[in-house]
Amino acid sequence: MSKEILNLKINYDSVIMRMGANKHKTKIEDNIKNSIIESIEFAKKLLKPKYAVSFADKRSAENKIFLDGFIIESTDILKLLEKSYSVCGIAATIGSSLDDKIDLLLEEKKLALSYIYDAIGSVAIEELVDNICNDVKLNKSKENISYTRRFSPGYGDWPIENQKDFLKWLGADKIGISLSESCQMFPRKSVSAIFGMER
Amino acid sequence: MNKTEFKELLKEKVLIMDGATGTQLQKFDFLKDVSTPEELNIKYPERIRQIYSSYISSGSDIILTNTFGANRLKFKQYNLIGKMAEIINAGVSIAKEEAKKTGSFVAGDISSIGSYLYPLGSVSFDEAYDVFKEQAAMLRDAGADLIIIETMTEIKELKAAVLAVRDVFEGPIITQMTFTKDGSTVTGTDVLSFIALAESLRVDALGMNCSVGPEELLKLAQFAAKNTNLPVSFKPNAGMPEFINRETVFPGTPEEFLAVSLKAYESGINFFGGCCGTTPEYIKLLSENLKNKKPVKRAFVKHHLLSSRTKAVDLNLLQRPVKIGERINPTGRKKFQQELSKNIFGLVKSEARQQVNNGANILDINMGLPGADEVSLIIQAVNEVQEIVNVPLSLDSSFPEALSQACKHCAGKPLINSVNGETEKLDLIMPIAKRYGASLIALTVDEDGIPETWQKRIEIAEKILQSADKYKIERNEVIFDYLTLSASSSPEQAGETLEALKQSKIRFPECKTLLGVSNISFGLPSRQTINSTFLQMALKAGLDIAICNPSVDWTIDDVYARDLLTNKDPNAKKYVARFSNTAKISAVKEEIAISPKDKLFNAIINGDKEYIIELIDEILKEDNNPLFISNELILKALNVVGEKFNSKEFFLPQVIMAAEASQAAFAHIKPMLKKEKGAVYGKVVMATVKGDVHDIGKNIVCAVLESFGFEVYDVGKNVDKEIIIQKAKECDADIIGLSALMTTTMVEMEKVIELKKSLNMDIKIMVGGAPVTRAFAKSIGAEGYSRDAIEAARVASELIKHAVKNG
Repeated sequence: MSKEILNLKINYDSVIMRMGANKHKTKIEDNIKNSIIESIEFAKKLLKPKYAVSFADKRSAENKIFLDGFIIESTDILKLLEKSYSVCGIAATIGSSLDDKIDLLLEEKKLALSYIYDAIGSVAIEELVDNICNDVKLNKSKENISYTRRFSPGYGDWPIENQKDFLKWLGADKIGISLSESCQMFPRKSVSAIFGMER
Repeated sequence: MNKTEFKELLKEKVLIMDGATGTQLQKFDFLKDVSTPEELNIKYPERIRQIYSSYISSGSDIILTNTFGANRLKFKQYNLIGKMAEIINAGVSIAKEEAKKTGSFVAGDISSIGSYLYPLGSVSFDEAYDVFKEQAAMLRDAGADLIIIETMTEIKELKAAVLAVRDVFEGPIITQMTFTKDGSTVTGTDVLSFIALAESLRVDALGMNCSVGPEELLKLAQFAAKNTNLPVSFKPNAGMPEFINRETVFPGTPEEFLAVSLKAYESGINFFGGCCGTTPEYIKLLSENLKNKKPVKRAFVKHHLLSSRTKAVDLNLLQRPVKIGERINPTGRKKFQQELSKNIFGLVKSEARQQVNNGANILDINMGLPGADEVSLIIQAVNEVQEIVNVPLSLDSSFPEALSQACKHCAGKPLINSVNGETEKLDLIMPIAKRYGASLIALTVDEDGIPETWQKRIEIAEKILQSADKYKIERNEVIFDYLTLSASSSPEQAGETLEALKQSKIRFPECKTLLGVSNISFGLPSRQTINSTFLQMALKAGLDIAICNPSVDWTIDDVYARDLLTNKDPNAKKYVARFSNTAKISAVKEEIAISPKDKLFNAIINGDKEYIIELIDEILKEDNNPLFISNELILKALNVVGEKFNSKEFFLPQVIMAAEASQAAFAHIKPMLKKEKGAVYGKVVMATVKGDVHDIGKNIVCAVLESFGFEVYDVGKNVDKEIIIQKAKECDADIIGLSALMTTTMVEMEKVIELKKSLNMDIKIMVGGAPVTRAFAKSIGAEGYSRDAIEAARVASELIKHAVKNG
């Protein structure tokens, strides 16, 4: 796989949009713009992107999906993977250093800045997952495959409680992702997702 | 082994290190039943012995002890602090027993403490230093032959580690960082910046390990070999690991690894080994091909580096004059002083940005403010400036303690400004430069003050160099300042300074020269004309570096100024006649008169909290009516902010900043308001519910509510329902605000409501958070729901029927 996956650019516009800015209406003064640009540069030093992927052929029976030892019970996923012969699962994280920095900023009562860093983290993990998906697709570009959209536990009727088994199936512990009792992932900016491959 | 023996050995032959420990332990399932790999040393010593032995028999000249993470911070998580000495001792002892068989060396292994140092993270420099010192002392006591600090990613942590090891261990120190594909560590340090720091801290060898696989790392190691005279180590992983179908896969093969290592050998690398994913098989191949070989001689570039976290500059190569920006200095600047006295670094940062944009190569930082805590100020300024610009720093103070602390907290190799020829001063400052490996500006003055002749200044320079010799500081680290005096009061002095520059270049060619040029024009019109002309003359005489304002024109070379500076214009008559009518460009635009009330109103909207308190006091002096300030200025300004937010002219960061400004305002006037009638503000207890640890959103709501005058009691995140209710009772709250970020935790909100009902409490509950909807809020019986912080303020106001005017 390409090493470029881990090279996250973090686009300024994506960050301000993540914070609710409207490209045409929102007026951002230079000092705030500078502060966001500097924060992006600084936050990049705190990123430790890592990912794990798993592939499995799909088998379904009794409204369940069986993926090489991992089972999903969800009509939304059944529908999503209806035409898929195989699936790809992804676990990705940008590491916990950015979380630590956000906590530190909160402690220092720098609320606006902590919010900016949080948005940067969200953009970073989103970009990472996009990169991984694109890379998977690139590697299979000769096979004339089409892909479903991405789906994560907790969305639709895919129970968030399924996250635990999903992460285990992905080997997410190897890249440092853990799960709390209420199914929150650590580091905070971590994502797990699945998509199907159709012929 | 002492440092000299190590050096001699490396002249004779290259050395083979070991391969991976961690991935081998995983492979054999040796990590079963231990909480951390180091615990093996005492719990299952035979397992670690097997790993050591496999590398010794494969031909390693140096094996690394299984003590990578054996430090207080990491061991705390596993309750192993009490066994740390025992674990380290066993790790070294077993290694020595195995190494003895072939006469190999044992390197005590140290790596990151696992958290970044401030400002990247929250660990303080001193804390990290102590952690490393403890680990290093234990490795020393256990008998390690040398110490290797490896897999480092952060330059400040590396600085703490090297200083700590150096302070307790006299043997050789090797230091290795780990790099990403773009040629820098994850925290942005490039190879040259790494070299600058490692050399300045006098390590015995430097290199790189792990990282991006042998092929990519080779380029970086070759670059290092060309840019340092120190021995270089090369210990790559077996390619970038991939995690596919629950397996860790290293894409490299031993044969590829060897091929790259052989290329590294040809480039003059001195140590070879492997990191993650490599095995005894890899090391065996290295040994068969490289063991006992004489190192290939290499040419290297001799630099004079200064550095920051992400950039090293070579004073030998920069275009003359090298510019040190002088503007981060409160002397004679009222607003600057006011800010610093309130611990505000807005101007410090804007001056840093501006000077770098205008071409400053280095920034001088002076926090000399009478009556202030200069040590604390300079530490903060160093951190603030290094967060936003990447040029190296010149640390400027007359207090040794301020210089010492600033050097310590500076990411990279700094310049000290300054020492002079006074014996006492030399003995105070030289040890600081030595300890932190800083370059040093030396003023050619001594106990007798400023010498009038160039001869005397050169004499003082000689004395300073002797002191440098005494402290074993390389002479080229000393940069001489031959002093600039005002041409209006001492017209002959410019000539002495210029002559001193010339003589210095003849007598001490290894030393650079520097001047703070602006002083030359003191008391004269059109100052920049003289400053710039003087700079041109000084450059010709041999000046390397100017401390100056980089944002003005330095190309002026004027004949009148030249005559003045060469003492051909007695009393500056001709010069003054020529320039006295030149209009002085006023830097400060005339401020349009705005009333303090309008200023406060605008400051809230713009989220500018710095002068809020002064403004309020000013308004109160005119009209002692805090209720007016609250209702007509602060709250109305916030309403404008709310409107702008709703129309999307503002986005959330602007709302937060306005809220923070308003919080500061309310903090100041609330005590006065409490005495007034008509000032009723609700009390709100805020919490993120049990199971949920994400609370930035809740914190933003707290800030906005406070900004609207509410008394907010924030009980934090992951809070039990009992504690929330208890707090609400305790402070007689009107409202409980609950947030949740997950569908799994938002059910907890209902439990709080049920508990409230069962206790018959007369209190309203409002809820919010990403997965929470209006319908959900209604279904669990919450009285209020809000989508965002601004709506939360409105809903809270309605709930307590406190009609905020125009709200």
